[in-house]
Amino acid sequence: MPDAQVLITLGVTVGMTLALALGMAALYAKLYVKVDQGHALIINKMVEVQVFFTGGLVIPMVHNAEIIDISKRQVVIDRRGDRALLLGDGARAALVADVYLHVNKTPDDVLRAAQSIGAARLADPDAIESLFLPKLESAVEMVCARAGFDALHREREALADRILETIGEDLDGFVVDEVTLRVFDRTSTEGAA
Amino acid sequence: MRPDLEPPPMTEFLATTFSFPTVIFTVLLAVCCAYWMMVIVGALGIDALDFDFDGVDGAADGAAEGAFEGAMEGVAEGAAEGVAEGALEGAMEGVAEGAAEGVVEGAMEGVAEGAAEGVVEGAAEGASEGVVEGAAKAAAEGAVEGASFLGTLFLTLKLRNVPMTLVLSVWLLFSWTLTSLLQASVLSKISFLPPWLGGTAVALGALIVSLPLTSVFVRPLGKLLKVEKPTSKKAIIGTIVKIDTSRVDASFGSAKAHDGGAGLIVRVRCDSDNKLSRGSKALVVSYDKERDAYEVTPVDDILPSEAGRK
Repeated sequence: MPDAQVLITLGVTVGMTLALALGMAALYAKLYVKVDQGHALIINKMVEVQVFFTGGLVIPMVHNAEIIDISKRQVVIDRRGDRALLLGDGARAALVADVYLHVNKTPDDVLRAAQSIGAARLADPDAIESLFLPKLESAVEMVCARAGFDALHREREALADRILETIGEDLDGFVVDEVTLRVFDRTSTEGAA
Repeated sequence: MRPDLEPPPMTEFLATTFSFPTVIFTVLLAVCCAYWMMVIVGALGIDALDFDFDGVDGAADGAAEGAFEGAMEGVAEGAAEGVAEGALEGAMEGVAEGAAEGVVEGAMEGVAEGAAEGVVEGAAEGASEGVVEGAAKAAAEGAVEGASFLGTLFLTLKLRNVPMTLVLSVWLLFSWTLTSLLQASVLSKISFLPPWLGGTAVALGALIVSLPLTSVFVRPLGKLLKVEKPTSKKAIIGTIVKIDTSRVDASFGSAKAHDGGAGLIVRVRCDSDNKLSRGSKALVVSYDKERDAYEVTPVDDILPSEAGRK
């Protein structure tokens, strides 16, 4: 009786569809990875890499997932005391420059940061600081070496801008939020020792 | 033929299931089932997923599991690839060879890659990472060609939001059903075609017919599983941004764009003379790929009222 056979076939199909649906529901319940604010989820799929900011399904064995930290970081360039900055007019200034960085919430920037810096270092504030400190510090030095102490006081905003410009734009996916300069003291050229 | 001489329906069903052409899909479906079983087992045994897991033990475990998992994955993907290839070439040899080749190659590659990955990763980072990475890489290697083709296909069928494994499973299931039904009802009664030709035609026809069917069934899921669309490069164009720097010229300037959250800091450029400075507003005109920056124009130029208010 072919009718019975048809029924069996359809029954098997419906059964498997239900099983699949149940399986998917269980999967989502179990494998859906949620993302905290200030983080991004990168899933390496078979064909492509996708970035999620709310959450995504990570299938074991097929996907590889990383959560990376894209929140704001502060890099402190402390040039006080012995390390006071030499200015263009020969004076020395004790100053602290704070540079705030973060990764833009766009897939491009997140991927760039993840690829060139890596999730482990992105999660480690010290690693980020030591990675960016040389570049940021040299930018601060360069700009201040061309400015006088007066400029440091009166045109701080312009100086911050010039620092921003000198830092450039190649920061591995990071962007500079803000540069602030805090000037503490004028140290004499002869040294205060 | 007297009814009492007909075999019972279950026997007939099994006979159909395990004879050409349905058997192709039966085997693939079995592989598929094995895959889903593994996924569910993997989901329940949560350590296969936990990427914060940093166990140092089980290097050997990692290697072994990586190899096994990689092989299984390779088989599944290889088979899937084989089907896709076969369908494309439109020949029975294509299906048979493609599947066989895919299975063999996928398995070999899977074992090799999985084992290598598994050993290295497992030794370095522990079992879970080894399994996930090894298998993912093996799968990617095995599937990259067929997958890119499938990717385009899925895009046109609006199946992009649904996990590809689910789509493949449903596709296979529907193909199996169609082939099985056709074989029982039509194919067994056709005598003017050689069996292999009819069977191949039915198998291919089922594959093609079930694809839009799959799309119809799975698409609602895609809506359910839809994720938020991240801000794209183009989304900012046409919006008003707030300048963050004291000037904007052809090589310098940055601005804050509103994205509903913390905001995006974007590079902006303006080739003409302008009075843009910190806090002023500008309209994003276009995205310059070469400079990787947005071209802006002062809002005051286009909206005198805005300037007046300020």
